[in-house]
Parts: sequence; structure tokens; C-alpha cells
Amino acid sequence: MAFFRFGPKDVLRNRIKAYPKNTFFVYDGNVYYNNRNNISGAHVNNVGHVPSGFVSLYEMNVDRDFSKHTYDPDTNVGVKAKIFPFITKDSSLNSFGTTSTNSFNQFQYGDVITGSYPLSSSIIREIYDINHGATSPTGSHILALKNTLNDYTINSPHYAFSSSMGDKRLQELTLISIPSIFYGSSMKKNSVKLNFYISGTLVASCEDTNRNGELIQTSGSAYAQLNGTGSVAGVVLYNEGFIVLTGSWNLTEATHQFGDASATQGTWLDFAVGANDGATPISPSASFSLDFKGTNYINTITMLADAPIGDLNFSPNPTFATYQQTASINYTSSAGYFQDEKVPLKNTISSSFYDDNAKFKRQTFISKIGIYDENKNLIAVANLSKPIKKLEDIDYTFKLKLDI
Amino acid sequence: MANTFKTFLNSDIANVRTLLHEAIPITGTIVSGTYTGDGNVKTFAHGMFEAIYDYPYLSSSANHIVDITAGYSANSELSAASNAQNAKKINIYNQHAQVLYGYDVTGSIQEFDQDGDINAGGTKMRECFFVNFSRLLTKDEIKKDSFRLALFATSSDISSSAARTHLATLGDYGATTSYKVNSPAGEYGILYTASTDSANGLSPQGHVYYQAGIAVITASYFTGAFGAPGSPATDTSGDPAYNGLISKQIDGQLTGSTITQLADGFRYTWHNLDFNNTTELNSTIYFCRANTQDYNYSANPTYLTASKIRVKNNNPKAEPVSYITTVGLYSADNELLAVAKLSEPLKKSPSNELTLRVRLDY
Repeated sequence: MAFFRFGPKDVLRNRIKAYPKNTFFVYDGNVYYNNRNNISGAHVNNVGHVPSGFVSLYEMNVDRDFSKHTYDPDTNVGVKAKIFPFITKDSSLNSFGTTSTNSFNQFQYGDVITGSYPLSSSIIREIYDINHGATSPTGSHILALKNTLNDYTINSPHYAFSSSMGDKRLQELTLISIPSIFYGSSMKKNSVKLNFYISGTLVASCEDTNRNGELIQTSGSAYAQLNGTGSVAGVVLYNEGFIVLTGSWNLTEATHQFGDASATQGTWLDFAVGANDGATPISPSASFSLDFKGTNYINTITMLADAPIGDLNFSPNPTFATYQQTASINYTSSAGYFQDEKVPLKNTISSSFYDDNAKFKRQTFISKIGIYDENKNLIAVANLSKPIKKLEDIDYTFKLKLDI
Repeated sequence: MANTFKTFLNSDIANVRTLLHEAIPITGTIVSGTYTGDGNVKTFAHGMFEAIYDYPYLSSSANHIVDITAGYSANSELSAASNAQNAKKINIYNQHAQVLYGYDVTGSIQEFDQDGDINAGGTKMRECFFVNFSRLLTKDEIKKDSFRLALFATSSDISSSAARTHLATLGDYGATTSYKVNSPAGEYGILYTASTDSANGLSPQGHVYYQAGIAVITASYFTGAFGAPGSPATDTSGDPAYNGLISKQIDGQLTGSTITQLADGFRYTWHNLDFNNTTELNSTIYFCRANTQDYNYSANPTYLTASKIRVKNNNPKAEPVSYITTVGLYSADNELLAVAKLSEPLKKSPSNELTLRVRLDY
């Protein structure tokens, strides 16, 4: 087997930037991610074991009946009906992120710490009433975003936590949290769009058309446009995955129930009501969609592996030699293994003529390429879809791409 | 922003490896036709194996869990050109044998040795079922002494409740210390029907290859009738006890049935499987030591107010104090490589010392 060293121009490093599209649809207290509903199976009604609108991290335990899982790791007794992770507490002190420090400290060394699947994630809507910062001066998520919001005032004055445009500590607002599993590195600018529907009819839309994070009302019913066309309904924190909605102008003439006991006219503050916020009652005629694109970076290494003229014309594969040849020396003993130095090779050149043996040529069929580190440890293997015929007077360059 | 750098000593850096496991149960209900038309069982036109999914494979929710196939050696007494898919069965056996068992000194493919002791000779497993587990389930490797496969040794028509009998649990009992290392595919354990089999001189029933994620079950395990309902040919022995309903013995199935039918039969014998997988987590732990005189001051602009240290509350005699929130790891030329954030600030003063344990997983 021949080794070749990559030259300085044979290894290229690139980064692919991808923008996966995401759609959340909120209706009647349910969230639907990319228009996926629950899927029923043979054993459970929801094969993924996560509600609609949630993603499952590893997507294990598909269509398994958890009620049959009676296994107790402490006694090692019971029926295992679902896949679950476990780890043994040792000096490395590794544990699961879902195990609290207090719980971890109570385990003895050698104890088995179990986790649970599925690990799920979805958007969450939080509503903040007027004067919320005064009544609860600490501990709220919107207060924790004060410095972050102020950092982006260079993009738009609407980010300011407190300004002449409003005080986010005291004003009524809605915070929508989007976990990073949905958007990757950041949300793509000019891709965020919020749609507010009543009875399936679009009432109002807002988009970040200026790429500066401002959510501007761009279209909707005549009533909604009269009240708020061109107005900023909120701001987007692209890198952190938050949408802060402050637009309080009326979007609907009629009143509906948006999580309050009494019916009110709809505003942008009511957007996505029912998105894992526990709000009731919600008018069944209201629905909402949230569209955005994420940003994923895929680092790739492209390697150009050369098969030069005059090289790679021999194979250590046993079938490379003539089958059932009579070797003068070929035996093994306690002293070693001895093999005949002269082994006739199999001529694999085909002739164009009947009952004719073509003239011998060195010919191999390259089926895979191994990538080795500087210590000649095999670290990757590239298999070809079909073997490539290599003759002495032909050279090839194989392009290998590896996502990392 | 750090204004004090401390250099790691060799004793401040430790490399550790943690083993994370998952318990993987695969019940017979998953593999033996839960869904209409065996929607989670994928067969192929080439007919060389079956792929089993945990849900109908046309759904994006489905995960591939296992491939099942069967074959025999060219040296098997059952091998004959007139057999169904004879060449394919030999190829399947050879493919697994050369990957899992390699070649002998003559360049011939080694047959699976029943007890794993190749040099001692002994019985070869020439007719085998191969169970290839998905990498999704086995991860880095199967945990030793955790593989338990409950199989019926006799199975016939599904309409008869008593058709599946002689249930035994094949396991790599005691493999933590007795696994074999003479395979080019890594380590493997010997499958017995009970932990006492080896001591009692009972024959092994197969191998489980931990890193490759493949179980090899000898066909001789199946002692009675064998076959999934309907697909294999029924018994023609004329024995009135069978009434023409029971399937052929395993030898008859190996010669007369296709690989797909054999895989169907194997699925039908599958009662339960349970194993633990292993994922290796390699970590480097950096012990960042803040001694009594270290890191009691901050370069943060908010640390001072009116040229006085804010946290001293205008008491000049109070000891200096700081709150550590972040640990930065730098290269030899002081380039910031990594940042570790604390869940909450830690108070640091000359009266205490801290060792912050920064773990980097990769």
C-alpha cells in the first residue's frame, strides 16, 4: 500500500453557510413546527413522545409504550421498554446536564445515574403586564435582557430598554423565546415574519424589512393598516433568539379572547397566544404564524488525492496474484512465515478477440482511499461508488470532502 | 478582562475518559411485524438482507435499528448449487467472516470458530444468522456482559399460541473478563444460553462483536421447526402431529428458503433483546488555581467608583475582594482560546483560595 503526502494546495478548508427555514404555527393552544402534527403509532398516539411544536433531540424511543417501562436501575429489576442513558459516577465527575449539583453530590461513587429521553425543545411565549418591573423587580427574563437590548441600540433606537419610545421595565409586552436548536448560530436578518390571523384571514403582518431588527407592520386588513402600517411592533434579538413585541395598537375591530377572561381587540401583544404559555381561554378563530430562517455553518475540508502516472499499480489483495499457483516456498512455522518471492500476477487485461490472452499490463482497481495522520494512523476512509480502473499510463485526482 | 495570567503546570492538567451508556431494549414487538404489511421491515430486490426500523420506514420518524441476514460457508454440508440463493448465502457468510474473522495463513477466509479459540481448532459455525445493529444504537461499542438476546429455539405457525417454544436467553455472560481479541474487527464475546454453560461444557451459540455491532448466531441453536408464518415451505414429512402446519427444520429452511424468508423466520423467534451501548467522552480538565494573593483585584471599569474600590464600601481597611465570573484559557502566546463561565460569581479575597475545575469535552 502506497502512502502519498498531501501538498499545500491539496487541502482546502471552506465553510458553507446554510439558512434552514422554520415555521411555527400557533392555534388554539397548540404549536405546530414546520406544519407537522402528531403521528400516531401502533403502541402510542404520539410516536415521538413530544407534543406538536417540539423537537426531540435524539429522536429515540419512537412508538414505544412508556407505561410498560418498570425498570428500576437501583435494583436492576423490571422491564426495560424504552431507551435511556446512564452513567456511573466516578472521579471524572461527569453527569447529565439535567442532574442538579445537589442530586449529583448525593450519589456515591459507583452509583448509576440515569437520564431520560426525549429531550425536547420549543418556543415559549411570555406576557408581561403593565408595571411588571415594579411589581417584580428581579427574576424576570425581560429584565435579564436589559444589557443585551441596550447593546443593539446602535441598530435601532427601538432596542433601548428605556427611552422616550417606552420603558420595557414597565410597559406591557410579549417575549417570545426561540431555542438555538431551531436557528443555529443566529436568525437570518430580513427573514423574520409574523402573521396574525382571525378566522383564517390575515389581519396583519410584520417583518424585519430594514434588516436592523425592527419588526415593521407591512400588510394586513384595512383596519389594522389604518392603525399601524409602517409602525414598529417589536424588535428581534437575532443572535440570542428572542422577539420582544411592544405594539399595542388594535389590529382587529371585533373582540376576541386572547388568554384573558374578557374579550379584547387583538394587538401584537396577543401574538402567538397559546404558545406554551398556559394562557386560556383563547378564541378558536385566532391563529398565528412565525417564520424565520436560521444560520448554520458547516465547516468542510476538501482533499485532493492524486493517483499519479506510474504509481498505485500493485495491490496486496490476495486476488491480485494468480489463483491456486504452486508456490515453491509458502509455509509457516515457529521460526516465521515464509512466502515465495516470485508470485505470478493475475493478468486482468481483457482481449477484444475470442480465446485470446491480452498482453500483460499493470492494472489495479481503486476501491477506497484511506486518510492517515502524520503517525500513519488511519483516521478516515473514502469508499468509491464503484472501483476505478488504474493503468500505469493514467493518472487520477480524487476529490474528497469531509464535513466537520 | 484578565490582567493576570497564570501558567498551567503539568499537574494542573488531567486527561480523562468517561463512558456514557444507553440501555437499548428491542422487544419482539418491534421486529416481528407490528405494523400493517410489515411496514417497518424493508426488503430489497437483491434479497440479501432485511432492514428493520422502529416505525414504518417511509416515515421520517423511523430509525433504522437492525439488519438481519443469513448464510453458510462453502464448506457447509448444506451448501449445494440447487439451494435457493446458494451463492448469495455463501457470499453473505464470507463477507461477514472475512471482516469479522479475517484470513488464515493460506489466504483463505477463516470460518467462525465456535469457542473463539482458532488455534485449538474445534467446531466451526458454518451456518449462521447475522444481526447487524445500527450505529445509532451501538454508538462506539456494545458494553461487555450486557448483551441478552432471548430467542425461541422452536417456532412455527403464528396461529398456534404454543408454536414458539424453548425460549432461552443468549448472552455474553462474564465477557467483561473473558472476551476475545483475535478478530480484526475488534473485541468479541461468546454467546451462551446461561452463565453456567461454559463451566458445564455446553456449546456456545454465537458471537457478539462489540465495536462492529454485529451478533453472529449459529443456526444450530434452532432445534425444532423454524420459519415465519406462511413464507417458508411447510413440513412434508407426513408426520400427523404436524398436520402440515409446521415449518421445516432449520436445515430445510437454510437450503430451501431465501435469505429474506430466513430473516423473517429469525424475526419470528425474536422474543426480546437488551444491551447497553457505550459512548466514550474524552475530556481535558484544567485545574485553575486562584491562590490567596491571586485575583483579588479586577480591571473591570465598574470595579472602581470615584477612584475607590466599590465593593470595599469606603472602608480602606477592608481586604480587597473581587467576584470571579469567567475563566479564560490562553495559548502560549496569550491568544484567548476558550472561555468558561461560572453559573454564579464567586467571591475571591486574600482569605480564601479557589480551584476552578474547567472541563473541555471533545
